[in-house]
Amino acid sequence: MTWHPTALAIWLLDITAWLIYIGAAWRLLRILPNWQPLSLDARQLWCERALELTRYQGRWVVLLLAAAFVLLLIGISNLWPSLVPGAMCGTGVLQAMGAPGARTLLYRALTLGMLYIWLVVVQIDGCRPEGWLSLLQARLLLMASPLMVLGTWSLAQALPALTTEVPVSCCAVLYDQVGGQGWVTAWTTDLLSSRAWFWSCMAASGAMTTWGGLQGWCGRIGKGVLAISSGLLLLWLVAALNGLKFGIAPYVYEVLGHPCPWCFFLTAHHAVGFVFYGLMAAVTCEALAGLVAVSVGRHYPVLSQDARQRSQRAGRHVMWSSLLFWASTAAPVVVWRMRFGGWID
Amino acid sequence: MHLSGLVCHQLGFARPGRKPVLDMLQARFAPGQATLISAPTGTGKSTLLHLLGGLLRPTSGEVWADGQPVSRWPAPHRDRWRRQVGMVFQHLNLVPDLSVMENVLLPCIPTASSYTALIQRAGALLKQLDLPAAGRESLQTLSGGERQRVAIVRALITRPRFLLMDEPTSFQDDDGTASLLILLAEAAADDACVVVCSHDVRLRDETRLFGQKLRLHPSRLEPDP
Amino acid sequence: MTEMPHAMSQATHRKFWSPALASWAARDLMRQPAFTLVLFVALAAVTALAALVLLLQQTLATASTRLLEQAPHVVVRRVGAGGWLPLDAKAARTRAVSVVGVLRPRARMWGVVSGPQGAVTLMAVDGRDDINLPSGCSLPQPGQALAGPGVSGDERPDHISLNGSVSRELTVIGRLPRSAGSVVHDLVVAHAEDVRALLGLGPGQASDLALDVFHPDEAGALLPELAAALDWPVQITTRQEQLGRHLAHISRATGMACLGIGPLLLAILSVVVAVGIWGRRNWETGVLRAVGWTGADMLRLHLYRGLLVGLPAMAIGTLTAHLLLFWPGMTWVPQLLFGWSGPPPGFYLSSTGSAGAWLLSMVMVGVPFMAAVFWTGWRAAGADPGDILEGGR
Repeated sequence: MTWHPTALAIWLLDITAWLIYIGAAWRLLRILPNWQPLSLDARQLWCERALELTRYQGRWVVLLLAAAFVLLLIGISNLWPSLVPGAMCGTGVLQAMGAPGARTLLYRALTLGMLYIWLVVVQIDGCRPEGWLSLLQARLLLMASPLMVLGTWSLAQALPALTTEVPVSCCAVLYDQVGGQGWVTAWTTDLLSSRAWFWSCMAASGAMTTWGGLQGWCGRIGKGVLAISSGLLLLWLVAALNGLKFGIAPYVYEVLGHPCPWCFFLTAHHAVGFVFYGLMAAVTCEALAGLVAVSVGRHYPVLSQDARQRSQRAGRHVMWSSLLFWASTAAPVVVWRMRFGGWID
Repeated sequence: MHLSGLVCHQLGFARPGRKPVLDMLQARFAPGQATLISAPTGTGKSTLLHLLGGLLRPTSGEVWADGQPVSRWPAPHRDRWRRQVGMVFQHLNLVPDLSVMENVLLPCIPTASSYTALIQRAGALLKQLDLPAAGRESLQTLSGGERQRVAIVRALITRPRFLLMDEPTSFQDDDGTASLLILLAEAAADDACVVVCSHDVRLRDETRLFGQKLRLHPSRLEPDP
Repeated sequence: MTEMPHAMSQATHRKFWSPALASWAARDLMRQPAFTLVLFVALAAVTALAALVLLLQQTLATASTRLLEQAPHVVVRRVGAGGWLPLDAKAARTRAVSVVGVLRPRARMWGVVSGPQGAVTLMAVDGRDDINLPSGCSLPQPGQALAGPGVSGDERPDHISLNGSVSRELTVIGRLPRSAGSVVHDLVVAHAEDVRALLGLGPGQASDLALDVFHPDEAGALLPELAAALDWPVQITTRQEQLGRHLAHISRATGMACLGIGPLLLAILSVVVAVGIWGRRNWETGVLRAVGWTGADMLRLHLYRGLLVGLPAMAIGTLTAHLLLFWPGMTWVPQLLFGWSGPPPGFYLSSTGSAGAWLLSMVMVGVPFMAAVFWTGWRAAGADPGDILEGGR
């Protein structure tokens, strides 16, 4: 068990989030079987008040879990490498944590994604007094619980690894991957050169910006929009992640062949990782919000106008976030080119 | 039901295990018109006002406001709609340790962006009802009639779309009643929907202000001759 | 909804921040001045404690890192069944230098002996050592010593008597400056002859072997070769390992101290919740809801009240902790914590460390506090105005 203050703060946030969440879940479990929107009795009135409370509680849970996630990122990337022998960035810390380390990040990101979808549904439902999505929002909030359990459990498994005395070989993990042992990375590096990944990232971000702008302007909620948005989001994620690792990393780290996704967070590199990945998270969340809004609009015609408005707002957010991502990732490359007059390849 | 103002449609209310206070009530309170509802004590006047103001939810039937079935709305939406309602309670419901001005401004606090305009309006209303415009006095130093006038100003401060008053003249002398009637006339002229429940004969005798006078029975509202 | 002609009635604010509501929250707090003051002081005190612990962690971590940056890359110690053993300085140097990548191996003589007021660290220098002495200090000759600021003589300030394998009285010819860092606090620098006698080292023997390597980050790779090159069992420590161990120890101690603050914090939270429940003023909540306040407005009022008390209290608590640790001349905290008899050595803190400690103390105290505030707030938010008002006062 590690006693690092950051780890304690994460536990504190987690425990507080859990306490609030359990209160909300307990109410939701009583609301779901008793919810009768046409009824005027006292039980339905209690259900409505209780559902309102769960919305406030859910928002607090989102806030606390998001804060815990950011602290976890700061801990892994900047604070805990000094505790793990041989670790120089988050890659070494995750290596010491083993599989639970990566799992806790994944589960927590998925929990936040799920809760963000819940927030979007709450927003759309709040536009109309009839409460069409009341049960859906209750179920969505409850559905976050398995992911929350997994996130907390894997964190409990991962954190004790920080007290390890066994040294890790931080960079060896990356070099092994580049050397062909990690098949995904080998495939991606074989497929495209670093310059090609850079331009793919730029092109995909440009496409995302354009699509976000189009959605923000017209806000269609047809079936085709769902397919195009999902496909584009997936493509952009692949291009952006690989673009960062292989295309942008050499210009930020100023060395060749160091495709480390965690070194971006180091203060030595101005902690640009928080900007890059933060903008990626913003684009992903708002693209998800757009997808949810389109889906709600299609399934509940009575809410189509509100869903359309939310979809347009999501489109505008996607446009601005991906534009900022495009500019911030291009900046180190442009600066390098201006300083030295060439590319790193 | 796309009628403006407040509409009671087969409105009923019963507390659990008791006989209904109101049953199958039909009525319309139009905007720009003041309505006086009179009835003996204990007939359900306050309950009717609480139902109209969204404080209680009917156990049968509906209350429609400007074409919307507000009584069927979930509680949070009814809470937000209630910002359009100004209400004078029979028991006043003022906060005793606050000053007059603080009590008057209570409804505006969550939505106000600036106090200046509100304080000006509150001052004018207080003056109209013969109270010190600054409103610095503690509520505990006021008489019953003055407190009631503070409650009336609190109901009017937001220029409510629906103005509901429960025995607003019970502690007022003739001058106070006359001042109140002027304010009610101004509110009705401002297209507000004014409903007053009272058994005060001075109001029942008033002929110019109230466009509609009703008498409440548990299962019906009938014109009061 | 049909068009509403009344401007006021149209307001459906969804923004979190409302200046009018914030000023009302301040007014509301002043209605319970005693409770507000007690809560403020208690929160500030707990935050100060938490921040003190966290700032201390940061400053010790910074000091350790600075210190170890000047330490040798690798230290080799001879060990036997009974623990540490002196090593043959010349043989160790010769063998170590034969390993490719090893630079500047140097045998060191140092150890811990009894001083006038407790244990002191004794370190040997002679004319051959390449060391930077503070200005105004000359190399000690046999019978002479340079002493750290925490070492003083019993009766005569310019003499110290040390007890190890033998007893010796040394003349203090200079003081190591406090600005040299916490490491010099209890240090005595003496001539090699005196040190050898006090530590019981034989001729040609040293306490350990310090060496540098060509690439410090990869010092670990040389360890097997280095161990194999020496004739006796050794314990080899790299600078990186030592730093990691130090930092882990500091963070463990800090974590334990933070846990110790937990009961205090719980006591405050209990008070917040208890007062929140007793002072919930149910009837007043009903009035506010009846005159148009929504559940969200009630919750915002509670949160504003919490923030208005919590933020200044936590800021003052953090500031107090800063002053207690870093205000020049403020000595009692290090004396209390470390038992240092004299004035403490200067503490150093990086801006990142300071921000981190501030953030963590805010999280550790602020999050449970705001959760307690929220817990009392959502009860008011979920209250039904009709039920409350019909229930009477």
